[in-house]
Formats: sequence, structure tokens, C-alpha cells
Amino acid sequence: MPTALYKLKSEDGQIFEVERAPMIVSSFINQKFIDQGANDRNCDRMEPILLPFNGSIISMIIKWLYHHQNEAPMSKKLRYCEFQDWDKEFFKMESGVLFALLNAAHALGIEDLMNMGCSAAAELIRGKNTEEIRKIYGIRTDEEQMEDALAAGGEGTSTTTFTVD
Amino acid sequence: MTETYELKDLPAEMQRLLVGKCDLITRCRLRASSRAMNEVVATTKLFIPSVRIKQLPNDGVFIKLVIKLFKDEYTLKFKETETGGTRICQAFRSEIIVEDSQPICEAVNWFKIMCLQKNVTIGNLIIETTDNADGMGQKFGELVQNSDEILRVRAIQVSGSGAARMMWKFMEHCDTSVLNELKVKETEGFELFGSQDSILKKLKNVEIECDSIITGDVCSLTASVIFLKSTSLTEEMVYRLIEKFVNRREAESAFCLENPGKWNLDSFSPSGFVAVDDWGDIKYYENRLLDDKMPVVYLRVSDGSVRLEVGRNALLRTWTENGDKTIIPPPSDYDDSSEYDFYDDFDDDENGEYQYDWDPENEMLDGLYESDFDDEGDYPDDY
Repeated sequence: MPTALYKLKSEDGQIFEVERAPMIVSSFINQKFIDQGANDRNCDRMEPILLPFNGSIISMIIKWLYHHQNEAPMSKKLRYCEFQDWDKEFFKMESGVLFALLNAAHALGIEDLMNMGCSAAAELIRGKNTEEIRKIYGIRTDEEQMEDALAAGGEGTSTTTFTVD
Repeated sequence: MTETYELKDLPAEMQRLLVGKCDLITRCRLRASSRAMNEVVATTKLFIPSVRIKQLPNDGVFIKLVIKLFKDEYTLKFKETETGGTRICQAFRSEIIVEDSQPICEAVNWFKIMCLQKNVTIGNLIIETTDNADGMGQKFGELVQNSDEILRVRAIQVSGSGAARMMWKFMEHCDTSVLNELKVKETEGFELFGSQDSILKKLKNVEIECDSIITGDVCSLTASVIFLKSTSLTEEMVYRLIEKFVNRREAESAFCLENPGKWNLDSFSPSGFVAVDDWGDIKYYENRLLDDKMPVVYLRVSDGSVRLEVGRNALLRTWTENGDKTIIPPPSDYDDSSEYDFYDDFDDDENGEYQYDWDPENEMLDGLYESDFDDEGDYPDDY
């Protein structure tokens, strides 16, 4: 019997066909299936579930979900050094991509991915000094943020001057 | 193209989850990276399993924070210099000299920054003093008394008369919903009742492992684990406490009362107990109910010592004849949300560059005196 495939759609229009079982870990996706009344008999006729994330991020999430689909829920205390090699390889990415992945994991309600992702993110800066942390995480100093805000003439800045007699 | 995101755009909950995975020194460095990160770190829960404050000679102070035993520990010594300043020493690091300051003031300030914060809970606060600790006690007492933040600590352990006075001060100004253990050792003339009785009576664990003066009713203690050693303990107190524990029959509850040579326990016959063993100087009794599901109460009586345990209790078995513990249990029920376990297996991939007590650039101390923040506004100029 052919495997029933459900459709997900990214914000940039990519369609992903997935099995239901790996997806139920995502509380968001699982609820959408339920709300839709989707099942193995009608899934091919259902509208794709729209996920407000880029296709590349969704692709990563699907890959992670498939890899971990037969596992019990993980401990929240799972640390980077306890990751399987597969996960260490999976989480090798720039911080900007990792944060996008974390954001999506949070929105999709995938707790284990959130926890692992945060452990991986913490590992990026372990043993680093403040300046290195800023560089890795792309954190702007307060001074730089103020300069940006002034340059943009944004909220909190003003070019009006007052004189008092 | 792969989507990217900035840390600041992550939901606050995710940012705190990430910070929660960082060790203490990384948190400190994250705090220093920007005002926004300072706020995130300040609002992320931090559980410090053990904080030890020890008085050193010549008004020096030793403070040790243990996040993870042997792996994530921070030890600082605050000592007086020849010119009336403070020398701050950290293992394997260059020391910092602060002119015109007292070691105790610097120590108190560091304790305040690291421990007396809204998001910080201490597992076990250990205070050790020698005889004259009035100065240290006064400064720490003033700190907790005047602080906007309340001290959150689960267990307080003290050793030394000065430490006991500090302890009462801490108890007075701590979050009593968090505090549930008190241990006192090597403190001559310790008086159990009369200072913070209302708090004392709510504690789950009261262990006074030194000769103490007991003027109050020991049965007013609701603790599940009690260790008392005092010439003030009477046989009547013993019987009443036995009755209380038997009636309550709370699994894993236990007590040990000692008053060497003062009780005549030869005719000891607690109600409801059956003698099961007699070694001459040590007698064993049991109290069993018809309902097998209810725990058995075990009693051990020797010269001037009565021990009771409800169910078999590993804690009680660690109390030796002279009351010393042979096993030091880890901090009780520490925060499950914490990334760290107090005892931990060795990390296989810990590289040699990141060892415990690692603060190569003294950034934990630098943060006391430098900051990326503006000096104006509501933010302190240290962190």
C-alpha cells in the first residue's frame, strides 16, 4: 500500500510531501492536520498546510523530524556533548540560520528541536570572550544600535532643537 | 537562499532558553555584550547549587560558587593589601588590586552581583567563620537587609558562631517559601530557638550537629529530618518526638537525638514498638502496622542516642556514632530546569582550553568595574 503523504507549503511556495508520523511531534502541524480533518485516505486531496517560513528552514526541520521520528521525548538537560554525531553535523550552521531554525521550531511547537538548537547555539559561544560572542551572534553594541537609530532618524531620535530664553 | 535571523528577534522565551544552556561565565559575557542581552540574562533563571562563604585571617573572605562540581566552579579570595586596599585572587589568574577598599566590602559586592539577584536561586549556602566574624556578619547582614532583591536559597549550612549570627540574618531576609533546610556544625553554644522560630518551624530539614541549647519545644518543628545534640534534650522530648513521627509515619522521615550520658534508656519502652535486636549497648525496635503498605518505623537506641527512621532511610544511616556524616548528599532537589547537574559525568569532548575556574581575562571581575553600558540611566555600572 503506498505511503500516505501530506502536503506542507513554505512561504516561498515550495511544496513538501511528508508522512504524518514524523510530523506529529510538531504541535502546530499536528493540530493543523486535525483541524483540516486530514487522514491517510484524503490527504492527497487536502490543501497544503501553509507554514510561514522559508523552504530551506522547513526542509531542515523535516529532515530533523524524520531522523528522530522513532525516539522517545528527550531530556531538557541534553547537552551538546551528548548529541549523536548526526545531530552535531546537523547543527553545523551559521548562527543566523540556527536562529531562524530556532524561531521556526518555537512557532511549530517542536520542543526537542528547540532544546537541542539552543544547546547547539550555546556551544557556539562557549569559551568565547564578549567581543567574539558579539561577532558570532551578530550582537550590536549599544553604541552601534544608537548610531543606526540616529542614522535612520528613527523612534527616540529627534533633530529638533529647543532654546530657552 | 537560506533564511537568517538575529538573536534579538527570537521570542524572549527562546532567548532565555538559550541563555539557560550557557555556563556562568558565558552568561556574564553575554550580559556585557549589550543592554538588551543584559536584560535577557538578568531575567533568565540561574540555579547555583552551592555557594560557600568562608572567613579568612585578617578580615579576608573566600567565596566559591559551584555550578557543576569540579567542572564549573568559581573561587575568589578577597584579601587586604599592605596599602589598605583589596587583593582579589582567582586560581591561575592574575590578581586584581582595588585601592582604598576593604576585602569584606568587595566580597559582599561580588556576592550581591552574583547571588542576590531576582533570577538567582542558591541551592546550598555554606557559611564558615572563626571566632571574631562580627565585621563580616555585619556587612552581609546589611546587604540582605537593605537589598531590593530577596535572597532565594534552599538550604543554609553554617559552621562557627559568627556564621550562626549571619545565618539568622539571612533567614530573616530570605524567601521563606524557598528555604527548607538548615544545618549547623561546630558552633559552640548554638541556640536553636528564639531568633526565627516561625521560619524554623516550617523547615523540612533541621540538622544541628553540635552541642546546642534548646529552649523551645522540639515537637513544634515540622521538619521531616531532624538531628539535634543537646544537654537540654529530655527523655520526655524523646518520647514525644517518637510519638509525633510514628503518628505522621511519613516515608523517609527520620530523626537523631543525642544527649550522651544524660538519659536512662535502660528501661526505654516506646509505645507500639517491638524489640527486634539487642547488642547490649545498642537496641533495635520496630513499629509495624497491619497494613503492609504503611512504612515500618525503625528505632535504634544506644547510650544517650535515639535514632528513628520511617522506612529505610539512606540519610539516617550516614549519621555515625559521633553525629558526623560519612556521606555528603548533593543539594536536595535542585531546579529541574537547570542545564546542570551538581555531579556530572566527565564530558568526553571537553577540551583542555576550557576547564573549571576558567576566566582568563578576569571578565567576571572586570565586569565589576567596566561596562559597555552607558553610565547614565537605570543600569548599574557593573554586572
